[in-house]
Amino acid sequence: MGPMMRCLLLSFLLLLSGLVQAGEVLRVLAWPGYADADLVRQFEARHRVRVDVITVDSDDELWRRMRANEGRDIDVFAVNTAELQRYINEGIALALDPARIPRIQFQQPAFRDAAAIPGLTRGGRVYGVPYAHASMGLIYNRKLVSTPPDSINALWDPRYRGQVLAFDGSSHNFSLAAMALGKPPFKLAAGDWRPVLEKLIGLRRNVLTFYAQPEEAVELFRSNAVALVFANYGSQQVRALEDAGADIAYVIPREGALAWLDCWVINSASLRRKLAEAWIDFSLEAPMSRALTERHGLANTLDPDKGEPGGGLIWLQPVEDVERRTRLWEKIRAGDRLERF
Amino acid sequence: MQIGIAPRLALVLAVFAVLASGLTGYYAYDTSRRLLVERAEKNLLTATQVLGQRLVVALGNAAKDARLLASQAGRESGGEEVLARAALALLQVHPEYFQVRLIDGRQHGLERLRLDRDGQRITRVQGLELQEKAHQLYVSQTLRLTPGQVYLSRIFINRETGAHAGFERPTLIVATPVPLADGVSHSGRLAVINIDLETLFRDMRMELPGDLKVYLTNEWGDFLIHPDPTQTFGFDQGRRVLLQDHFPDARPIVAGEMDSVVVSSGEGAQGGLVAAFHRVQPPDFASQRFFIMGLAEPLDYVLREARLLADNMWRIVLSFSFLALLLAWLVSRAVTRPLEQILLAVRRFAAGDSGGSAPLPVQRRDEVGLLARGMEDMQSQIRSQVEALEESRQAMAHLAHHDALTGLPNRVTFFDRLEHAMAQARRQGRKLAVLFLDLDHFKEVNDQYGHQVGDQLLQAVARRIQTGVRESDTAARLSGDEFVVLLNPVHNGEEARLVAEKLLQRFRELLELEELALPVQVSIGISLFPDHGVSAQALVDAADGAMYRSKNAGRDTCSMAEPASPPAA
Repeated sequence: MGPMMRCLLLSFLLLLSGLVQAGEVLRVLAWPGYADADLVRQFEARHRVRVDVITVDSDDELWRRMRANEGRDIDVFAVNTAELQRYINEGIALALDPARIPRIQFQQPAFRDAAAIPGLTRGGRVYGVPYAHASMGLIYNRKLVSTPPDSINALWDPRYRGQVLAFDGSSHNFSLAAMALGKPPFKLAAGDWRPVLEKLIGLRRNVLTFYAQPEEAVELFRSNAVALVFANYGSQQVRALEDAGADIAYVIPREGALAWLDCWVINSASLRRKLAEAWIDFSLEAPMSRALTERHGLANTLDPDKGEPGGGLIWLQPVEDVERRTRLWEKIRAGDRLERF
Repeated sequence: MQIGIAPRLALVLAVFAVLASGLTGYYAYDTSRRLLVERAEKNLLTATQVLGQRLVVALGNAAKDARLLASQAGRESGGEEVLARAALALLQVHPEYFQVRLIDGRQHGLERLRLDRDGQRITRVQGLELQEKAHQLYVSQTLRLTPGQVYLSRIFINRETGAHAGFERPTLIVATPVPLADGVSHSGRLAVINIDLETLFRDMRMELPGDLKVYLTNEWGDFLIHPDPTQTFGFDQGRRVLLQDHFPDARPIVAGEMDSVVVSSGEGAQGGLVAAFHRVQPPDFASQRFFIMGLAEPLDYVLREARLLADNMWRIVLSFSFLALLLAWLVSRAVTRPLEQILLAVRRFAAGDSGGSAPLPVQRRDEVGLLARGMEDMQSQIRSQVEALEESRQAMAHLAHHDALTGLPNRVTFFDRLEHAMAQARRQGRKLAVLFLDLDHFKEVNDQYGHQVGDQLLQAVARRIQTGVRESDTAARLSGDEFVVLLNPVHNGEEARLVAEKLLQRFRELLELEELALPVQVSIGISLFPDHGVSAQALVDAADGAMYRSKNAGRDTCSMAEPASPPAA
């Protein structure tokens, strides 16, 4: 067989494989860093399909896309446990059979036990497979803090007055204050509000300021003496500070750290469930899961968290009254004294 | 299709004129458009710099006011009423200040004195409504300064509830520590002025034309003021809306490489803008904070004069083109009309209509006149040649039908006329007669006196015959000394005989020649139509026969032809 013939045969085979691949398309809706192109190509090659990855960068955008065109545009998507509730309510999330996704057994025990993760199950049925997560622990400045803080209450430590960076967010701050007081973070009881308010005013009096963006925190860290930072953006923020040359460390306090957990969910309208299950299984293989950590600073579900002994992670859940928390937080931030509440 | 000179000439002239006026118009428009954009850019840059200077001055004043308030607070410890009056005065003078405060950093930043603008009024906030502000950066950052230094905040959206004005509005805070008596250290208190950026800019842009768009960004290029309010404070909603993304040409100013840039965005998302951006760094503050101020004008608006010009240009070009067409037509007409005149003259001349020929434009003093005069010369030459030709033609024709010697009709003519006359006579039932004359003894005369005299004699005979018959009769020379006369009409033979007798009578007189007089006599034969023949030749032959009988009868007499065979029908 001459080189010419070989060449022709090769092109023919390539064309044929292209046709086969073009036959089936898996549409994945994910967050930046969840499905890098090189890994997606591996999946495509293995299953002889094409994968369309669409990325979103906010919960609202995700919700809008899943609702558009009756949700038929997407087969599988990634959503956090607190948000998952409304997808289950709307019947968008499909109940899964964990046996069909064999690599679940290689996840860390905390993620294997779906029932122990609030919001992941309903009526005994599992609706998502944990894939990526990030915790909101404490960052401390090794130059100013000699012993690593082991409690959330370090944020209130008068030694660090004017040296604490807290986050300008109503929901998380109320949860944080509740945790500091040893109360359930997401469901404040009627009698809890007053002590939590007092606690938050105490926090306000102890902080340098409340930041909103991770870059802003870096900037403040650089131009002020900052001892402690509430890491709302988790390990990503740790990396940003380290990149800026800060001498810092990250801890999970003994009360635990708030954390968000993104799970793969299959769209109930999808006609490609098998392929979607294969995708989820593939994402739990080491190359793809570890890319989350190595490339993007997010935590995966295969490896134990590094340097996060503490009290473990407290997965975000819907809070009892978003509006009330927001309203009160605005007054706190404005500087109202306790007598005004 | 053939195109005449006139339309061709007109077309060339018109195309040239239209092109010339069109190109002139286009270049004038293009140049003026460029000049307008350049002028707009220059004006915008100047206006931007002036506006920036106004911002610097306004902020400088605020810094001065803050210092004044701080130094007053330092001097009059406890005299809060005096301070309140000073703060009130500041708020009254500066509509852009919406809050003037004195804050105590030692009590979690509790406000000690606070005056809020509240619509038209100014409210003093007291008691529990006073808030703690230690967690605000402007407190901690100001307390790091030494007295006299002034803190300038970023421009941010004010979210501090409890203020009466300025909530949710772009705000700038100017603050300075209250000095102790030594003037070097501070008391942990600070004087704070909140400036409402919208009011500040509303006042500043009062002086600008209404169609100018104002932009303001912070040092990173985030829009703080933008004609489209949704583009402002993007970072406040988790997205960045940056100057350098909207106007890539403005990147150097954000990077700090340039102080001013002028940008002409094409037909982009903004629909075409001319914009100027200028870096504004208020000098009165401790921080190196700067803003980027920009003014933009829609390209449409900049170019409306150019459009006006373009409209006028069109009108001018069109009217010039029309004029050019008219002129081209007139010019071509002026050139071709005399040519047409010449052509007409030539045509008529050619048609032989020489009498009423068209006049040639010979009076012109140009080449056309020259041509016309040449044509005229040629015409007259042709005309005279034609006349000469006609004369010779007529002479030839005469020669063909007449006897060269005597001038009488020749044989051919005679027979022609005879046949005509016979045809007529036949129709009308009339008679005619032919007289055949032969000179007696002509040969002897010829022999005796020579041919010349013979010829003179023949000429004289011809004259005598001619004058001896009526106008309507035809005398002709057949040959030698034979003559015939057609008498038309005659009523009978007797009448013909009388004519013959009369002729004989005339010939009995001497013929006067040039040098001599000779006696000449003739013999005459007479034939009658239709009595003696119904063809010309028969008639002539009959007359000839009768003539011979006259000769035989002794000459100088006339004889009637013998009655012929019965006439043919």
